[in-house]
Amino acid sequence: MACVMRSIPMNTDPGTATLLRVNNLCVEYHGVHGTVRAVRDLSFELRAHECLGVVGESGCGKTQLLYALMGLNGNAAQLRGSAQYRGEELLGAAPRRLAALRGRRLAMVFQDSMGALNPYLRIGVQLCEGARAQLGLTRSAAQSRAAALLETVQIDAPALRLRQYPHELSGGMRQRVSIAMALMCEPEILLLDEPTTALDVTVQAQVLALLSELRERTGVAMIFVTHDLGVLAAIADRVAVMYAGRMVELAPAAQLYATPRHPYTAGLLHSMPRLDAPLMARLPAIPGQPPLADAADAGCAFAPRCALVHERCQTLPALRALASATSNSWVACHLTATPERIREAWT
Amino acid sequence: MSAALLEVHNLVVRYRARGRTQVAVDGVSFELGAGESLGLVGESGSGKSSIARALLRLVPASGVAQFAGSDLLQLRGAALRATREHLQIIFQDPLAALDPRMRIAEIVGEPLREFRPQLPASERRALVRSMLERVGLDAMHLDRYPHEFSGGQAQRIGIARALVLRPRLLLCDEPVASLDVSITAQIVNLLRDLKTEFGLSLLFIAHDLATVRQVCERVMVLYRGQLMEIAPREQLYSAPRHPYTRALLAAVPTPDPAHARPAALAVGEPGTVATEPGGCVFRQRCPLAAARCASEMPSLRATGSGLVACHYADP
Amino acid sequence: MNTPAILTGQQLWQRLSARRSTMVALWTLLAIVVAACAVPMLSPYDYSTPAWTRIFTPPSLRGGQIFGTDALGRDLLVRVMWGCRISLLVGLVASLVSVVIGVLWGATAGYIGGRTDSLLMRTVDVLYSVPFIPLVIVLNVLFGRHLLLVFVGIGAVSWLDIARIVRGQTLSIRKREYIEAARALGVRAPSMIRRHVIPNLLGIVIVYATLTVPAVILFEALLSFLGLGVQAPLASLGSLVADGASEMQSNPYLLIIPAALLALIILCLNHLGDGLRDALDPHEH
Repeated sequence: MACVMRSIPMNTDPGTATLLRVNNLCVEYHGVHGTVRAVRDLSFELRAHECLGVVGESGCGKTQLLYALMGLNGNAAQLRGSAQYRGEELLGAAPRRLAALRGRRLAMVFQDSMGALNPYLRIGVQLCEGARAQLGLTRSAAQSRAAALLETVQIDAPALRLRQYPHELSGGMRQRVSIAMALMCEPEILLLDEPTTALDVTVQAQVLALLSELRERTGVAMIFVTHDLGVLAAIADRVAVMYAGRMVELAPAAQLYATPRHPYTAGLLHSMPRLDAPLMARLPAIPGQPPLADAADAGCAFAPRCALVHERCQTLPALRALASATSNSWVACHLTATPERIREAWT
Repeated sequence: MSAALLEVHNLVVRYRARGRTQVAVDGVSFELGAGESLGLVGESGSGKSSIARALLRLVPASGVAQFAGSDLLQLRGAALRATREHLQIIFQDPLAALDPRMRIAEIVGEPLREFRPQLPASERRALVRSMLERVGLDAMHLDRYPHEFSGGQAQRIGIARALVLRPRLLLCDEPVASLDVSITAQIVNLLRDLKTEFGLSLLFIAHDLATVRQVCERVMVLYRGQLMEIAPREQLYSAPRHPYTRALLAAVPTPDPAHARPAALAVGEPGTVATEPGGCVFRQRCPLAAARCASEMPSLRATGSGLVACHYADP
Repeated sequence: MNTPAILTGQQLWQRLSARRSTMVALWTLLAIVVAACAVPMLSPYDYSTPAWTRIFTPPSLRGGQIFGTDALGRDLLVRVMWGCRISLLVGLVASLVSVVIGVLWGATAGYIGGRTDSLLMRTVDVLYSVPFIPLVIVLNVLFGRHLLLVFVGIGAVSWLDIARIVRGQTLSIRKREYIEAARALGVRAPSMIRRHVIPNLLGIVIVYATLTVPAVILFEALLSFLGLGVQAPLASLGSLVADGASEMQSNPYLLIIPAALLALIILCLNHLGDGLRDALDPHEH
């Protein structure tokens, strides 16, 4: 499959630096049974201090996207396109250079906090590992820094916690520790892979509030990946919607939730049970199911499930800017329907 | 209101692990009417899944559970087996709940083999086929294996298997928690349709309050094995009485940036055990906690059309 | 999240044939089996008739007796092929019996648990401690030498390992959600074990069965070597090796040929077992 160069959503705000520029990113796995195209032709930018939410269902490629930025896909993956951090190419960079960037400039928080922490090492050791390697801190300096960070992430009795093992902490606390670990070297970009999905809802609220506060305090930029549109509404500045490895909509949060332009986004928002909407006798559900990751490109991937499908949808729609919007709004759909028409189609 | 199909009194479930006893369900009582759907909501450690397992006798429990005239918790042998025909369950991980070595036709047909052994194979297959079609799966799937299906389809298969004997009560243990967002609405709609068509009663266990609101007419809120509040849907969602219910509702993220952010009204985590036993189990996390909460366990009292267990809840 | 895929016969064959060593082993074994069946039928020589004029003829490609003759002038090729027959037969039948017993024993113990499990597995432990060679000797003394006793002696040993392994596997299967779902449906224990547990054990059972066969063959060879196995004039590879060992100095071919064939069979079976294990392993692919 050829990756065609198309125009990408550009940073139109002159005031802030562009930290990440991703162009036509493709992540593929070639296997005996066919090729899995996890990420297909993805382009976007991340500005400093911004929180970009990436939402999609299973198999849409959102986690593979984060792995590609960190260089964690593994040897079986084939990456094409480009992902530049402050002008420096991340894809295919030398392993030593990537190791220097990880933790120091780009840090990641994983979904499974128990899996991301080594069960045999104390929390303090794991927190200090990265900082000592990257920043050359002495052990005591690293430890005091770790204790300070634990306080920042609202963990009580930091000195005690540093000496504890991961299994001695609750799920919410472990996730906070993961966040603290990611912040140890003061990275510019925090990549979060479903950080609150495995948490209870009351704990999720706490962690989301914490992340918002951290953003305010440290100005770190975030890419927040999740399947939960509700969570992103609370924290994201811009939201990118992914489907079958492609980005189908990218817009400022307020705009995306109020007037979604892509039928998939609209479908998701309307089919979600919501507490702020009156109770409906029947939820307007999107029919069918998400395509498999090894499905070939045959026009718009959402066409089989779309209420507004028509003939042109047999060709792949490009990501285009919405002329009327003043800020960065992009949608990959042949339709030029108004938001009202889209809403009608789903209700 | 219709006669109660299920009456549970003082259900207690204890687990023993490494010499220590943990109480998962601590004296919960409730009723479920015929044709009604009751939601069981709670975070981890609330005991909601243990209640389902206790009713199915998959774990040992004490208390009383009157179902169709007999106490489920006292039955043994053939009498217990007989109740299984009327009480079925669908699981959280739909793919794991299907035997990977069996074809779909066998899986959905297994209840028929157990309870209607005299049925000839051709009739059984016909019943299985019609059940699969009813849940939205084509007859061509009959001879496939579970791994060929997605999560949403596997859950439909699980629903078909659970309903093939036309049970009276369906336990749903977090049936949409592991499914994609776009599939959740399909399954929720399906469950509602089947409930009406088959005259089912549902005991719907979930942690997502928004989904529960869609399915259930009454909702129970559990915390650490105890009942905090039980009320009809309208009351619980518009005027929750218990501080924990309020905390849960406030924490649910709303897909609207203009809406208030999820508020963390309850501090700490569901797993936190009180340092000294006695009193209200929620007091470590409760914004309203006072001295009385530590010494005196609140009993269930009537508020509006529901019950709440709190000293300081509004009447 | 992923449940292991069910392999069709064709897929299994594809995976097996991907490995050259497995294929070589498979074809070699098949060749031996075919030879073991065909050669004694086609050969003019008999495995038991002595020929006093032709004792100790060394192997030669001319003259039709390519493996030579033994101490009684019997054609070694035919005897060796008969030996293969007996060894393979004992190997397969005894393995089959021990697999059946071991699977039923282990699955029942693992699934039912509690006191039944203790009872069944303590029995296994006790039997493990029984010294088998003396047991077979005692049986031989009591009932005389008979091929059936070989089966009994071997059968008494080899199911123990399989029972242990199957029990362990059953314990892990028992925790899976589909078992809980079936219990919730009201399926009873015997049906559970038969319908749900055993089919999911098949993968590991097949692998261990193919590894049991060479172990059984070797054990039979040992018994025959000690003079406790098949009765003359019937020969198994083990008894042939025993006979050959006594002539090692003067007519080494009598030892080398059956020993080499025995080793070849064992090697092929082990390779085949390895190949099967890799082919059935869901993580390998």
